[in-house]
Amino acid sequence: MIKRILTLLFVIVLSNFITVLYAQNKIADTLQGKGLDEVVITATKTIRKIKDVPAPVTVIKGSEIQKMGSTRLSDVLAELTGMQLVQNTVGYPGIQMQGLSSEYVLILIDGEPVIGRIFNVIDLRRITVNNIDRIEIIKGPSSSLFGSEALGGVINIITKNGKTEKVHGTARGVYQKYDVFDLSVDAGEQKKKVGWYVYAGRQSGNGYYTKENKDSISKSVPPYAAYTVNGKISYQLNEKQKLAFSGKFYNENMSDQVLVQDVNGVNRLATQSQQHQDYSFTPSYSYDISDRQKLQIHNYTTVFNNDLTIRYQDNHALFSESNFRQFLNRTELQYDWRVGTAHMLTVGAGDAIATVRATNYVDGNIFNQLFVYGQDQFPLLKNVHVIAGFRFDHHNQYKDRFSPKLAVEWKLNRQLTVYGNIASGYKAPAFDQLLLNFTNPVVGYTVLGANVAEEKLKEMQAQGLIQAVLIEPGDHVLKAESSFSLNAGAKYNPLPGAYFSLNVFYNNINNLIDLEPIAIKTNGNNVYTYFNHNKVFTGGVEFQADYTIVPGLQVSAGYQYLQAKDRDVLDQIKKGLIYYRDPETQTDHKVTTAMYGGLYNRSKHSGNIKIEYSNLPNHFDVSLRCIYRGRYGSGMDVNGDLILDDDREYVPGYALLNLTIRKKINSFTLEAGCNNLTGVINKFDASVIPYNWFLGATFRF
Amino acid sequence: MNMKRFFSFALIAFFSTGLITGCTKNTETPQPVSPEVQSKIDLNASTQTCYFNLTTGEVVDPADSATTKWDVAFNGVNQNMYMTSNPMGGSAQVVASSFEEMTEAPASGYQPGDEAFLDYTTWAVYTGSTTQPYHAVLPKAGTTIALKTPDGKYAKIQVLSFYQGNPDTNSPEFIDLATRPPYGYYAIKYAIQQDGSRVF
Repeated sequence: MIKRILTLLFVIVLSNFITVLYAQNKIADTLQGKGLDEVVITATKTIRKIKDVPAPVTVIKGSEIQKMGSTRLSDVLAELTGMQLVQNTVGYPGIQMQGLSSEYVLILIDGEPVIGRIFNVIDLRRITVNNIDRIEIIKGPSSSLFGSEALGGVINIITKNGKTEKVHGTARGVYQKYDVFDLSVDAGEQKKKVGWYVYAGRQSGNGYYTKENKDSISKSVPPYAAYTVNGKISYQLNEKQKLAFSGKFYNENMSDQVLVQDVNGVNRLATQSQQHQDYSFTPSYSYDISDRQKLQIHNYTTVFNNDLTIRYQDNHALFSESNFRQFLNRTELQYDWRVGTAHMLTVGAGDAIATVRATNYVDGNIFNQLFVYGQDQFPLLKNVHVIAGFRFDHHNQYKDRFSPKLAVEWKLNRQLTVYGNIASGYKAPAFDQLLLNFTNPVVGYTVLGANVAEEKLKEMQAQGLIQAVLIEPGDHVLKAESSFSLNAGAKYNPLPGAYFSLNVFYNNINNLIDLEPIAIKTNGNNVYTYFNHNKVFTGGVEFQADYTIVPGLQVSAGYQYLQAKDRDVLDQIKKGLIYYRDPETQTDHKVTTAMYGGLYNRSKHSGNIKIEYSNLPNHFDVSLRCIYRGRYGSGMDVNGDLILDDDREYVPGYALLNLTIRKKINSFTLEAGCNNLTGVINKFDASVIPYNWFLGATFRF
Repeated sequence: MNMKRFFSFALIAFFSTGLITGCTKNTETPQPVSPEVQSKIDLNASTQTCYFNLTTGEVVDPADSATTKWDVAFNGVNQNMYMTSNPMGGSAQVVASSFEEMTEAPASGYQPGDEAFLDYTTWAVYTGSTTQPYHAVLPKAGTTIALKTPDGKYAKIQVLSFYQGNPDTNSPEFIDLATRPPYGYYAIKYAIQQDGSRVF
């Protein structure tokens, strides 16, 4: 009995001690701005300090996002070192990391994958930042924990929870150029047993024409209205067990005018309406079996819908209609076990079921996936720490994947840590690469998904549509695109408030999926299907420095050097097989390796300089950021070789200057700012808005 | 040793130049003359196949399609990309070379009629929606067509454009699908060797 009381006392003392430490850390944290002692969960699926993670990690806190005055995730990510927003063919911004495009970056919300890629991109404007507690970004592959898509990195958006025992919340309104209106309200509470949080937000905009397209029929960015609602509730069953439930709903409507050609070849005006919807439910259960063992189970169900309708404006008759509906249900169990004093084991297993129904897709396919993963974190020597892990994915639609990872970290002293890691990442074939059955109504070519190619080609042969077969598709099974990656770097914290990090990266990607013709149709056009063949690499260096000159004044600088090239193109150039056609003389010349600029949309040089000033006595803060994007390939080909090799194929580099000022008056915070103060125009990217000013106010209760 | 090697080299050089000059001086047969490079734009294949005679540089009446009056034909109906040599004795192949680099037609490897052109991706590219200008058909740079006419003459052909007026594909008018010139008008650059040799 006495022993028990003693233990209890000890626990109380210890927990108080921890609270004190935590509070101290918090103070230190506000002084430092960015702290290496901050914790991050995404890197290892366990709570670890940033300085103890042997990988490049960035954590953006809610308070930092507020200082920027941003409303959408795309705005926040665009200002980070080594990250580029790149628009896809329909203008949705996706994120590029370590030179890998957005289909190789996994986006998580509270640890669960966001679905609904359109032309490879999860539209980052879909995600509001008003309900975000923090964003954790891990660069380099994390497929050993998260599976598919985690090649270039993982972005985990951690949403807010109820914080205190009293109901608290915020209401915010922001008005921006082009009639963008963002209104949101949230509230939360954390009692002893029950905690809850709710958020509701609406954003709408009138759309706009860029200067280049001011006479166009369609706006460069169409008018839209989007609603986000999310809620969370948690219940502490007892000291050890907790149940939680969270749900999310998103609806966006867009509408614009387009010019279409009817069956008689007459151009007519039409209205294009588009609706995006996604919702999810996540019940979860966690059990702290002991202070050494923890069990977590969560189930995630999510649906994404995208409907596109085009109707003639004169008689409202339907021109075209298409839809895409994706469903995912996944259950995951994770067990953490601290073995002895050295080992921290994490094992997990789960299954995922996905379906997709869409226009031009072969129906009735169910994607079934089973996975297991394991990870051990242990000290190898006194100051050398190792993390070793793997994940195995079994899938019924493409080949199984094994993704290992090994990371080593060496603490040279209290200030300096160096690390290195080797890992493999992968990306599952996209739904269209497996299931598409599409014939271009204008040109007449056909694209078939790899899993339906054999069957559909036979059907076309039976219908007499095929003139000759070039490659028999057979029962060829598509492999996942896979990577082998190296990251090595150092984290240096010479004095409080000064934080430097350096990371060298190299990603080698194999089995990139691309189209190849397999047959010739009687109309002279080809039938294509998907094969694994391309190889690309990206490599570079990233540097970040954060320095607090005096409390309240923080300066930071970031830089990335990047090379990203297609190996097959390089090989062909070396063999003298690639020619360009001089547009003036219409003569062909050999492309040399020195002329080859690599993959489109990659800036060799990019970086940023930021100054943040907080005046606590007078309750105001100023944030000035300069974001530089070096020249990059626009995706435009001027000389007929479809590779980047001519100066005219580049977008010149530019720097954006963004300013935000906030002033706190009692419970109100007023904000005003202007992004792109110098009025830069990028004719290839409509999201670069000149003089994009905004005004806003937040009320806290 | 170096001297010795130098001398033998000089000796060989001397004799060989002597041999070559001697040889050329004594030959009576004239060197084949490179044929003139010609070009033709707006070969209208947008509504029906366009038949072309490389020697006369004239379009042949479609009524004569089953004769040997034409050497090469083009089709661009319904966004088609189709070429053929004359199936009545003609043949062709697509060679990975620039037009200027092809100073001699290959001796072998010719396929009859349209067989060499069936897979259009070997001689044309469709840009699709990933590379600007979007949804455009462009000739594949670095491919030259070697062609044998029905009467056994060798010719080389480079496709310059598939659009009316051989337009600059980088111009804003071309990039905008609404103002792009009509498809199906072939522009070509060609040379035909009349003496029966393969030299261009």
